[in-house]
Amino acid sequence: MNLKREPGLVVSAAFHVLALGLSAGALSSPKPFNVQVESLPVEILSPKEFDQITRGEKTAKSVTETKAARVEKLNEIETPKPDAAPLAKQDVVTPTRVNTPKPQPQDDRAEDEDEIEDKPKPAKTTPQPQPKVAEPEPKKPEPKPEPKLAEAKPEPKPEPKKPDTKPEVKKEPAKPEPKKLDDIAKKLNELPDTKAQKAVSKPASAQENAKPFDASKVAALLDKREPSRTASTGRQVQTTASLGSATGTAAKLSVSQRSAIDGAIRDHLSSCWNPPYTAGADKLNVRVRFALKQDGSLEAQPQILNTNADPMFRAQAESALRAVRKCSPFKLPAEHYAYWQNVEVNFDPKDMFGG
Amino acid sequence: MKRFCLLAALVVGFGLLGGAKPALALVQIDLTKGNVQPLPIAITDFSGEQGVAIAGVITNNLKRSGLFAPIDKDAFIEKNLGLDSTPQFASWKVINAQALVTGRVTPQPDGRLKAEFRLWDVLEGKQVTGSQYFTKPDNWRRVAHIISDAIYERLTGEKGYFDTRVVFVSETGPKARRIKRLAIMDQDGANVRNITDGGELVLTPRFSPSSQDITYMGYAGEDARVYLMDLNSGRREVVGNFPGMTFAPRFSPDGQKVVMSLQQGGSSNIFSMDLRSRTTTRLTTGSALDTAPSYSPDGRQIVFESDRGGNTQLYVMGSDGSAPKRISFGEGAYSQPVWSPRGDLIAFTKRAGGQFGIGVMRPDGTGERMLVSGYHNEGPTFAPNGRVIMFFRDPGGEAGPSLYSVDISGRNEQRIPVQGYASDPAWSPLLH
Repeated sequence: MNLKREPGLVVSAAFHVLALGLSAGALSSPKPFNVQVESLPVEILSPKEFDQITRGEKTAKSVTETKAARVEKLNEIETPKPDAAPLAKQDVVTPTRVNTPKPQPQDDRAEDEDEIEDKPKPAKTTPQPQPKVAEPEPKKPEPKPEPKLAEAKPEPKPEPKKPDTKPEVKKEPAKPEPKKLDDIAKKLNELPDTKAQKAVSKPASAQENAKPFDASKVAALLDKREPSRTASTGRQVQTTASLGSATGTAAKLSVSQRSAIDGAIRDHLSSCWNPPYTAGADKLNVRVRFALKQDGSLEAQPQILNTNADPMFRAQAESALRAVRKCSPFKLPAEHYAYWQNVEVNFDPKDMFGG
Repeated sequence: MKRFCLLAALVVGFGLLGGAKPALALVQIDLTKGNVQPLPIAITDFSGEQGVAIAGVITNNLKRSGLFAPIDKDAFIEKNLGLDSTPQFASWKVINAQALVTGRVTPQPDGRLKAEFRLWDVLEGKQVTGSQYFTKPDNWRRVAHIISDAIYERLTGEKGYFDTRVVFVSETGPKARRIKRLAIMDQDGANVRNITDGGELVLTPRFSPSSQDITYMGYAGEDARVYLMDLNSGRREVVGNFPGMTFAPRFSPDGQKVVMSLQQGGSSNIFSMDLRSRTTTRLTTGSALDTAPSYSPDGRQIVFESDRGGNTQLYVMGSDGSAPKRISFGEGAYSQPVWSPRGDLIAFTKRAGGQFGIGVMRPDGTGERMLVSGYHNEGPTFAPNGRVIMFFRDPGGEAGPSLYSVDISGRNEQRIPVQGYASDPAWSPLLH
């Protein structure tokens, strides 16, 4: 067998598997990335403008986006169609986003939503990724086959081609793209919806075989691979259904949009939270989880997740529950309900009781 | 085969990736900033005779603690809320109350008074706690203090300190001829009662942990002596019969010993005396002035002031006198140390740069910070929950001193409204 004579290959493959495995493990439950700073050059559109943009036009070229996973990514790595950056850029700039095939109005908006990943109407007015489509290229490395959680590293340039074609495709596809996109879209269509971002870069077949490898069943595995592939990107946070609302414009949120929503919740809770200022209380953190209805009011009673034998814990926990109840209803953008419907807060007074 | 293996490796790799679970849609937030504000609470007048007075004492206690902001009664929307009705929470939410107290006082056929209360969580719309107490009608104030403690504990998690008393030196008369008497009062300044008649000079009264005895220093003739007095009977006795003068007595946490300083010649040393056997033990030696001892709450250590190093500083030693160690190192003179009942802090008086202040530090001497500072502040004593310190302040001139309290963060300084002048406070343990 060749392997004997090429031990290096075995060693190399083993290390690759190990590296991939480790990175998968590390990435499989990523901590939310609180990225506060985005260095993407952005074009700021008002939510209305953006909405108009993302609504698309009936006459726009409809790109058969592969049902890209409507991915509510935790870490926005989308490559807003890096390729054809310059062109995309221009397109983006002009509010007529013809390119953005977000067929909102058309068929499944949901799907497209994802592609765009910028939330069509980030209530928070974070500059839609759309506008930055061009720029971000460098940012979104996402398609990297390796699940690179890293927020879009600029590798993009080399990638751009690929990534663009990915599900993003829809969005920015600058004129020049369309052709390419179509091709790619077709290819993507073959792939089990989306996620494939990375799939694109990697040979599709490889992805298909992602599951534990069984030589004799590769073909069978091919088909089964799809579902897991969704998860495998590591950026996939939600399944389709959760993305966006039926009428919403984009379900995917960029990092800045997410952090804007997080910040709104945090600031609001901060104003409602009134922990008893007692000695030793600064060491007692309280974790609370609550679910919200679409109108921002509490769906059910908030729950305390942690316990602590300290006699003061109960009073601190109750003050955290009071804060959540007092803050309800929360004023959050309804179109991103899927993102904020479940909230977990760690009330940590460690910095509050100075002295 | 080779290619196969390579492919296998890649597939396995992707398989691992594929195994990653999709994350749940969950916004996760770390909140480290809130409002350090008193909790808005509505205390309705209790029904029944003395109901209004009891509600008034509770309101005053909670407000003075600095942790609660009682809402003005005039703002209440729902009026005449009885103890047994469920409140209309919406109307309390509107005025921003987060907690609500209702109550009732009912005379019993046997002459006692029954006092009941309920504490409600307005936002959750549920009762949090409730209790009833039976007592003599004259004791309605104590019931109000006990209810205040119950509310305080439930909402802050800390033990309360309202059902306590403070023994102090009440001063009357012109500055040149002040008459000093031992007096005792409720911690809110009510119910002041004199314990001695003013015939002799009295200083530094201190409570026993059982709170039925106090120890203090009195001058009988020219000699200063440490006395024990039973508050209930009024009987008093001299603690030991030492040659020389005895000062600054304090009880041990188990109430079995009194520790004090004895001056002989030009120096003073610390002695402890077992109250049952009346045996005394010398704890410090040397020719310095060692005085003002105070036990740690576990009884194993004693903090005291000494000028053995030059100017007066604080030292901690074992309760048997072993291994004294200096813990204060700042500029100035440190004196009158007292160990918090929580064990986490030592409060002291510090004189530096012409100012007198009250400060706290950890028992190892770190974390020193001043709580109040000014022309004059001295004589700290801790509330039994270790959160509030009472002290006295003399403004100078012809006026006399007054009692003040401040919490250990330095916030919420309050004057204790006592008639006349007052100094040397000492806080009792919780009475219940």
